[in-house]
Amino acid sequence: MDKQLLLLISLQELDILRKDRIKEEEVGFEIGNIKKMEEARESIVSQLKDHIYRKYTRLTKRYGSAVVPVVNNICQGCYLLLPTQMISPDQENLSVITCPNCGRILYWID
Amino acid sequence: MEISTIKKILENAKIMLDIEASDKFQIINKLVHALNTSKDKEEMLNNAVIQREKIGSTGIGNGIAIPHTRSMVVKNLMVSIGRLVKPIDFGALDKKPVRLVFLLVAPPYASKREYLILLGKIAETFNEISADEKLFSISDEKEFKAELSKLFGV
Repeated sequence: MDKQLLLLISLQELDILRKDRIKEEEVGFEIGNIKKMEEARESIVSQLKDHIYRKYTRLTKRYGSAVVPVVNNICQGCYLLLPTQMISPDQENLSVITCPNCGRILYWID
Repeated sequence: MEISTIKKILENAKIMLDIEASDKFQIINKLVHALNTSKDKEEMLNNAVIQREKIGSTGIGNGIAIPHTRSMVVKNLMVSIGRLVKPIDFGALDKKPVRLVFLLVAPPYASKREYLILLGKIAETFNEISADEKLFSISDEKEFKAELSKLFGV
């Protein structure tokens, strides 16, 4: 898998974790180590190429989630059936590619 | 809706009775492995669960821990449950060693509801789970699931 894509997925998972914090505390968990979470985020961001991080930030602001899975060749962000020519070379997540319709970053889950 | 959801999740859960682990990271490893995903996904899930664990222990008390995370690499909510031969330190809120571990991984988008329902259900019944000695002596997987269903009221 492409290293930048892997970092993007980790970054998004961490951002989801940050958002889930309040719900988690409602359930009964104590999340105390916010500093560690911020450090982990900074470390991921420092390894991302600038233009990729900018894209991630822009897409997150616009859609809530910048990286979306592809299931059965359908972008799970906008539900577009992806054109065949873009499917085959990237099924193994070998590069950072975006949906031609919504622009979200794609991750092939299968 | 809620009852049938939890029932279905329990039916599909991977159960590991009498599992051995020296620390919480090892039990998390073993329970992620039990989910039977690909090697790549296993590594990513492990990292995500451990990342979550680092910001606050999921040892909720009375010997129960619920390591969990949302991850891009799963399509559905996946659950594995491990019962430890020897209780281990989990950095739990009440400092008690943990003997039963529920691992939950859910996708970020779908199943949002069922993930929180189950997380809430375990958190809300952890005292009853912990007090149920039968649950800690059963050696059959099906009976174990049936006992848990009873505790969850499903």
